[in-house]
Amino acid sequence: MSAKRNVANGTALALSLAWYLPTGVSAAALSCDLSNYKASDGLEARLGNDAVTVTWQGADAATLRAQFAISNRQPVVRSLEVRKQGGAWATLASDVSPEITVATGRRRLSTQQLVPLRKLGVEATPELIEREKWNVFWDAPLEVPGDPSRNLDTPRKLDEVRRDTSSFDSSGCAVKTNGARLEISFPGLTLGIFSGRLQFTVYRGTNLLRMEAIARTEQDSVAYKYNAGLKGFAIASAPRVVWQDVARSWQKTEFGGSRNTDPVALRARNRLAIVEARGGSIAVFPPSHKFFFAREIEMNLGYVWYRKDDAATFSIGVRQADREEMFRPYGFSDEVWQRRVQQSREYAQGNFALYNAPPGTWQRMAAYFYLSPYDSRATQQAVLAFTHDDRFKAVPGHQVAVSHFHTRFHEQVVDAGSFDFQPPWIPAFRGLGINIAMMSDFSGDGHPNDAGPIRFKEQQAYFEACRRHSDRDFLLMTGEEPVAWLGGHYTTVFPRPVYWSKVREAGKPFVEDVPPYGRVYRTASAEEELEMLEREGGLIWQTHPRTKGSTGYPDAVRNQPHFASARFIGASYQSLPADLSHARICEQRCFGTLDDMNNWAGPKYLLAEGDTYAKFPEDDVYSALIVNYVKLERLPAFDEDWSPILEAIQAGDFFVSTGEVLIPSHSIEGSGARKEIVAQVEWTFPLEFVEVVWGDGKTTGRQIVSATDKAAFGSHQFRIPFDATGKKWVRFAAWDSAGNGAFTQPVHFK
Amino acid sequence: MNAQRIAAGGTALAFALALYLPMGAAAASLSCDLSGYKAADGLEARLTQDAVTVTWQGADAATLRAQFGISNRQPVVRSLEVRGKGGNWATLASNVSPELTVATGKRRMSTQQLLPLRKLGIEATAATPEFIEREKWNVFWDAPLEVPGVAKINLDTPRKPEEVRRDTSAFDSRSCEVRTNGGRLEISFPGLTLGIFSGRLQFTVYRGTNLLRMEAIAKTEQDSVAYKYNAGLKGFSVASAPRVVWQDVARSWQKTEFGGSPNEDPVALRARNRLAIVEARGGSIAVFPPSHKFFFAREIETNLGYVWYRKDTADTFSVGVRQAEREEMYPPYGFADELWKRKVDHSRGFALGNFALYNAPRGTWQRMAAYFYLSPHDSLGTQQAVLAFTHNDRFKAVPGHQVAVSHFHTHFHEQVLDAGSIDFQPPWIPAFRGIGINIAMMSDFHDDGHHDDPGPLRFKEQKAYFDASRRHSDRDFLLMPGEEPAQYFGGHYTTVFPRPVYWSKVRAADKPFVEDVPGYGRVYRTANAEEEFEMLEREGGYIWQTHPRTKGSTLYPDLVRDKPHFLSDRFVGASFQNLPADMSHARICEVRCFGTLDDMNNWAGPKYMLAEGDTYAKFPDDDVYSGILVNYLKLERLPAFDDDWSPILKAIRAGDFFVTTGEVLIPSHSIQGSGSKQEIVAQVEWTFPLEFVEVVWGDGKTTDRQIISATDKAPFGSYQFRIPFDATGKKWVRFAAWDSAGNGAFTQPVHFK
Repeated sequence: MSAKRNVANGTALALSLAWYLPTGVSAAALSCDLSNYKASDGLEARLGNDAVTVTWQGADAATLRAQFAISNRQPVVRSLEVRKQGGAWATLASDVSPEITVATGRRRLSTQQLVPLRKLGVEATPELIEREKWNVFWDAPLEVPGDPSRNLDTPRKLDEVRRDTSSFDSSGCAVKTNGARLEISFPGLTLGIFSGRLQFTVYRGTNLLRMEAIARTEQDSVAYKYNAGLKGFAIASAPRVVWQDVARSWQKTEFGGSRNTDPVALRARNRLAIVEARGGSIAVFPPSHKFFFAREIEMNLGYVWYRKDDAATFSIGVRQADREEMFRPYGFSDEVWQRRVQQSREYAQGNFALYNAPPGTWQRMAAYFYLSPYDSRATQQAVLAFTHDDRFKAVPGHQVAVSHFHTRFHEQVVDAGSFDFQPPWIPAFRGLGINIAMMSDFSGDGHPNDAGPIRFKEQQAYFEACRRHSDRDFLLMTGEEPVAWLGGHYTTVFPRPVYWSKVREAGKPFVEDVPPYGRVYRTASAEEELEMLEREGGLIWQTHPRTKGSTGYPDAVRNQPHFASARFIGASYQSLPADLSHARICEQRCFGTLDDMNNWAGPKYLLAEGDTYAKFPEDDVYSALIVNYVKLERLPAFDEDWSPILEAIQAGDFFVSTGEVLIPSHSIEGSGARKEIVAQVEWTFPLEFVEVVWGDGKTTGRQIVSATDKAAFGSHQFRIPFDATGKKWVRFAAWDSAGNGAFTQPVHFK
Repeated sequence: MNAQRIAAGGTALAFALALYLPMGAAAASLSCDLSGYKAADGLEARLTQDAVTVTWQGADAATLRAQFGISNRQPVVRSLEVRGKGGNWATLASNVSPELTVATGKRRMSTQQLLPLRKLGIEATAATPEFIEREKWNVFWDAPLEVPGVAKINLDTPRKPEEVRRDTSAFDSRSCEVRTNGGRLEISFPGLTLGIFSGRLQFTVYRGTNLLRMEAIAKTEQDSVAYKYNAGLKGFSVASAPRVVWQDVARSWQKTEFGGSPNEDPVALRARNRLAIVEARGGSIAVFPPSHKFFFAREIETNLGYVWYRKDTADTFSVGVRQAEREEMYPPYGFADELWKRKVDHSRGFALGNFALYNAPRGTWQRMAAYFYLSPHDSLGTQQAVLAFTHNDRFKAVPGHQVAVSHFHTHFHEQVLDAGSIDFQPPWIPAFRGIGINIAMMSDFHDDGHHDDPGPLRFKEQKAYFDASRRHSDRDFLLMPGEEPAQYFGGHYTTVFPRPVYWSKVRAADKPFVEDVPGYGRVYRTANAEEEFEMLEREGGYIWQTHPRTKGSTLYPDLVRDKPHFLSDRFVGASFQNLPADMSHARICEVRCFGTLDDMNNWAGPKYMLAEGDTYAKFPDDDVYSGILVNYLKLERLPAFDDDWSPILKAIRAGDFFVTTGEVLIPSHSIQGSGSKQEIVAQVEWTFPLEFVEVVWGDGKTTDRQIISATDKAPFGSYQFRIPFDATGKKWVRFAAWDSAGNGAFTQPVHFK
């Protein structure tokens, strides 16, 4: 390093100074554009002869320092250092370099998406296929040849799949101030069919270091996944990588085995591995939700890795797996066992959709590092604070509600021979802090289309099991995803268990008393189904709108009575599809549906759904799940009336959240045209932006307010004035820099 | 409680006094024999009119108090109280009563046990009714509750529904008895009927710990009984104990606050560490089964739920320990269809055929125990206190020792080949490392791979096995690629070498015994026992009989006791595991394992017993600790994979190791003195209150022992036992220590010159 340091103010200056500085034998002068850097307290960049050094204030009065350079046209992290308050600088890593790999395949439409379209008589034109394929769920682009029945244009061919490692031709770097962040980027990145830049971001007030490839492809129909890490850690100064296994036993490697040829995938609890170095630790983890595309299950596939590269060095990073795996099948009876074995295998072979990369979109492939002056245990605590220890934090006056789970509860208790059998998905839910689980039995289990005798018996088992396993702060609501008369897939919930056969044979009444069940319904048409919903105070909403079995929905029913009725709440929300060029989760499909519905009709909402199957305590459920915080002081017991829950949903009194961003309160204040959205927002990762979205009945507009000046672990009351003139409805959302977010429901103006 | 208290001194007195005491409306006077009770500091019993109250000193200067009575001829725990140091008495439970249930079935011999006889062509003559009657008690493949069961696994099948009974405890208790036993008080109630069993119920408290052991001590007169039990306390009040908490298999805290509808069946909790905790006002009550004794050998260690709660009414609940009704399926794996299908069948096969339960030979006093821990602390503090008994379910590091385990069919080479990467980390590695294991002697090629292939396939698979073991070994974790070859020596046995050795178990006539094969280096091919033995000699390998006298080693090593390989130094001895499980025994594997050990040493020179697992797939969420026993090898430094492993093998061959369940440790031991006046000196460390230590010896024909009671020893202790003995006429001697929860440790026989 040169002894003479310069605070560079712009490209030209930096460049010219660099040329004139004396260079060491091995170090070339670094060209770095600092024209967009603004010096500020706790967030400094300094250009030396051959390196740019950023120094920033971290958590708990720690100071962090990272030095970046280019060596052989490859970006290098010359050092990562940390100094705790009153302490000395400790070097956590020296001369480590970014390594990113991608596996790319081809995106295809699923046959599942064509089923509802066919029913609707919609022709699958090339334009429709091109548009809808990006919403696919059942796709596994890396599975060659794959299950030919799942997708169009199969089997897959070997040459569709590419696996590439990053290569660089970096001629310089750029340092940019963005609110309370510094972004240090290196152009000249090639990553197989992608090209772009590599960026590091540091944030004042936290010890986070985000590393990401920002790259695009011009190729059509690309689906991909990535690994990202740092290479070249010295075993001598960082002798150990530790993590907790899926059951939270601490595990380690001390690199005592032979050299690895592949990354060793670690099925680590909380998706977290920690390098123990002299004087501190470096944690590595992927974005806590954004990184995870929708699947049928939440098995921990190993999202972090290490690799011993030679006797003296190793690499670490984040990864996506190569494929789905089989969930643990169950079944005391042979029949259930065989069914679940088959299902487990089918999920593993057909479903692993990866990320979308439409041509020209800037994909952000990120990994987080946390530089800590503490040991691995304290570092773990510091990192887990970003996800509230992988729990949905209790918010006073709210209940955490989730929906749409095909756990086949009635089948499980009947198979086990006891209602008191506690299935493994119950601790999986309760361990996350969930208070209300709206379940969806009878989707590939039981006899959903039975006219009565079997159906009612199965419903009784379902209801009794839910009654048995509900608790004071945990309510199992006996919902369903019936796929009956109303079109597409949808969730039904009632304020109490309701016996209902979806078929009514001629001569059978619509409603009658059947011992020992009491009142039972049988429906023969959409009218009767709606009538039942009305009589029982039930609610419905479209599950996975515009994809899977709801492809073409709710668009196709926007003029139907049930859509227009107050019974039809809206639609569901999940991370499907995943596109890392988007700032929001499910940006187009979900929010597109939400905003359109509100332009078409009265208030319609978006409820978070899981739409997943078997779960186990050792799964990584948190990262895959998005929840609803329903405004409700007191949770009804199972045998009480659940109307307060349904009323809160119907009133839009809930916000949806990945967990890291919370909106404990929000309101619209003011009158006439001069109004203001007032929203209390709380976050963990540095916030990215908040937005007000509105519609005029035809189009949707938005105002985005940057929040990059907000520090990590903050709370702020946003007041955003807007002109209500010509606006039909308005809603609020907040998104953080790791891709997590929360949003409130649309409020319509009278 | 009656204001007048009596420190009763004997049955007659207590009885007489009780008759003369005024009786309340509801409370009958209690007859209790205190003749075996001796008042002692920190361990007191007092008889009042309708109850006997025991008060004892617990851990951390806490005082515990339990009051027992009889109501409608049923024993009742009137109260469980605790007082923390300097605090007030807190009532943790009132009027709870014992509830035990048993499921009983019929013990059968397995066809697996007959295979070795069949191989030798002696099945017709050797498999006599007497033989079957004796050997059936050593069965592994039996599932007495599975009706009709899988065909051909057992003799005399299918099972019939009427073989299986499920019964709940019934009492006709007219009195109780309080007895001092060292640092303990035992309070027992006769008149227990438990289906086909009858006997008594006993509570035991121990000075120095907050443990309360509850057990049925009962016997049956029926033949061929295999059974399992649940044991718990009924009648906890939701109002004063509003919550039961536990950690799930992944250590997330879970709870029930009894907000659901009442249960009909016990709710099995798949709790980490086999532990549930009742949160009461002023403290907690933990419940858990014995940490090893409770667990009969299985193929896998899936947590089947060993504790339970049951909401009985809107206001009351029960908690206890349980054994499951059946084995479950481990999660099958396999990226390739072929492997997936094989693992699916394998997983299902284990679940349907294997769940042996406990032996209850006629007339044996079976002890069906549950532990309660009465704590003045919250559930987290209570959890920590209970986990101390098992060192947090880890095999505690002992200076100068390495923790070694053996005999695991995890099919490692198959897994890495299937995954397409030697760097694939299988789930059994964190399962092992999470419990503190340093050396795992593995046994691939046991219904995986091509173990009888003459070379090309076999060597390739061995290479994958060796490379994977090399890759995943670490500085404090060595994977030794051993095997259980079942080849020329008879029965099943483990082989280990001081390095990876390529070896095909078959040799075509035109192939050499040893040659260099490119890609592998030196490879062996063996055609008979002589060649196999020659290979062991050349390579410095060792063998020992796995599961002696049962499974595929039925009649072994007895049948080979005169063979050269048995008599040689290469034959270390045999393996030890909790098979069969018999709750009337004070030791684990008392008859089969120690019988083999002691016989071998009478027959020949020093032979040892190494703990084995003999299990298959494992996962971090399994309950592996309770299913495994380990060897503590005296070895300062662990060799790296590419180092020479001879120091490990030398320590084994020298008998420089002790076997343990983990709770009892023998960090050092020696024989001192000379001539006939010698002394065993053993440093013993324990957690649960110790039960006894023993010196066992043989004269070349018979075995004998000296048992020294250790019931006076406080829990979490350490003591140097010095036991003098007369060496005259003794060929060898060994030492063992067993605790009151059925855990133990033993050293290897030392032969006199």
